[in-house]
Amino acid sequence: MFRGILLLTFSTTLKSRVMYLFGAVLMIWSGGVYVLSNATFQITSSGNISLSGMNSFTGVSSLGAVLIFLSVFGASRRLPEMLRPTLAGFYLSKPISRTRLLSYTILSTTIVYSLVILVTLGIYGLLLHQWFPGHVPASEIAQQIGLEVIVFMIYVPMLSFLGLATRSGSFAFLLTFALWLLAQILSLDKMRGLLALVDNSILTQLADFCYYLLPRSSDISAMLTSAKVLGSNSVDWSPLWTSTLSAIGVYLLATLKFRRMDL
Amino acid sequence: MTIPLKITNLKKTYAGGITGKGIEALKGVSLEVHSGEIFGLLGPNGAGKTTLVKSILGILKPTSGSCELFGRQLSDPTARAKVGYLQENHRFPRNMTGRELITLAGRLTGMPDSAIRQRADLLLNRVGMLEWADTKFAKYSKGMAQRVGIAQALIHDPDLLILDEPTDGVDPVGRAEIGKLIRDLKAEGKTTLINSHALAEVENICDRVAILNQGRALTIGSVAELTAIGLEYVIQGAFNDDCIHPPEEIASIISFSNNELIAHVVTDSDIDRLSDWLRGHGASIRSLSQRRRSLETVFLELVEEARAEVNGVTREAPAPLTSAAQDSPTEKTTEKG
Repeated sequence: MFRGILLLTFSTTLKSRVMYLFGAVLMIWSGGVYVLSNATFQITSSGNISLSGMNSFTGVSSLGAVLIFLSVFGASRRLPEMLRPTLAGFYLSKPISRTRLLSYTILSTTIVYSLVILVTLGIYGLLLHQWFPGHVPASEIAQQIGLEVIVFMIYVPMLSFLGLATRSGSFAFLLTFALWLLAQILSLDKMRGLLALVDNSILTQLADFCYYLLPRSSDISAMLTSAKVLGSNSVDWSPLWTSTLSAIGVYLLATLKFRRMDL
Repeated sequence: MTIPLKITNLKKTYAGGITGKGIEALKGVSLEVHSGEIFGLLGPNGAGKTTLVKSILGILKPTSGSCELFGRQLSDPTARAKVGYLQENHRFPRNMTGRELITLAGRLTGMPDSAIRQRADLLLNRVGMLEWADTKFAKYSKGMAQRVGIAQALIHDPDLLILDEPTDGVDPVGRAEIGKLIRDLKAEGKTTLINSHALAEVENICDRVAILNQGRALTIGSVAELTAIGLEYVIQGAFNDDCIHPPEEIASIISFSNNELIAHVVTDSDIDRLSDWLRGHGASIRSLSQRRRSLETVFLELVEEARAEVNGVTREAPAPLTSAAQDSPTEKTTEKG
């Protein structure tokens, strides 16, 4: 049964227009990085500065964020599409429990889009390795790609829950984006400073609560940089585990919601 | 033998949203669909037919009551292992081909790919879609999509087939073919539940029907039982004027012509006495059948009666059926079911 849903997700995803976006983003991004990295800018009258290799590592993380955005966009339609009244009967009349149907759908969406992210970032990583040999170790690129995939995996249950609750791919995507934006704002140092200025304990606690509840994607993406700066023993793993816990919680909520839904 | 479908006092109330006043779509429906029969669900729009079908499959969560598929409760997903379903107004993914949909349906029921491949071709051929198997749904007509929909419902060789408006959008030739397919499945021992507005088709195909109105089953019975008009018989042959007045203790003639008469007998056994009497008076009898109304007439009467009851109006007794044009007798000489 899982194979059926996985293959369907795979073929649906490959046939979808989002794939063109992945291709276009990869081309534009790699082209941009290549051009910028080889560019020499005259910033003072006394000398030139070369950006060679500077953008290549940060490029993986930023491209990863864009690809996650695209994946969330692509995956947002998956569940609402399946659950629209004109198709729900097809799936729900099969001898498969709702919990399994939902889990298989979430899992297959996660696998397929993670693969797409992996392949896209992999191609980008290979290009970087080819263009700027020795600038960024391949292992670091691989680790960064791994972290980006984890960030996406953490977003899928949230996207699924919102898809079930709103029954609309567009709404699910917009809400997920809004939550991502909120998480970004809450993780900003300036936000912390602002809260300290306001000096309202309830507001601070609420911000903290939301900060730990929402997926901390930028913190996860930055873990590798922290490890490089602080050393691997001093890495703060909390973004990974709080985000994973909240993803599990949201998955359970989605299951509960789906089991009680009339379609 | 396990009953394919048993529904007991099934109720479904849709949540009322902000107003809080729910909509009672099913008000305690009980029925059984027996093995090997073709069962029809009839009812006007909003009667609760689709709600009932969706509740049977667990697509909707019943408020109360129970539903068993082959002796298993709905909560057990394996109860649906022997069930094939064609949804009303389905919209299968447009970028999928007929074969892909059937393959997916097979995989979702846990079939191995080799068995799916074999059976898919067989079924596509059976519904007349083999030639179009690799064409996308986007290019299918409504009738073609409907045929593929039936094929996907049959992929795992289910014992109970639930078809929601199977001939919706299908041309007359296609309807006849679907009707034949359903009858063939019956011959193979399969059970079918049809939810349809096409009363004439239901009358021709179904062994038993349930007429639903406003969430209640108004009547459940065989088509033959429901359409039969008590003690009235249509006798065809050659008759002379001596046949007009049979003895009152046997029968009275409702309408008379030289080749057909409609008689009202006093008791069921009097039909033999009447035919003997007619032959004794020079008649030649070619066929004899119980007079029937069309299922549509029965349906309309029952629904009208139910509406009148709801509105608190006592319905007038129906006018006696004297005109052959009003309710033409069917050609059937043997009863169904």
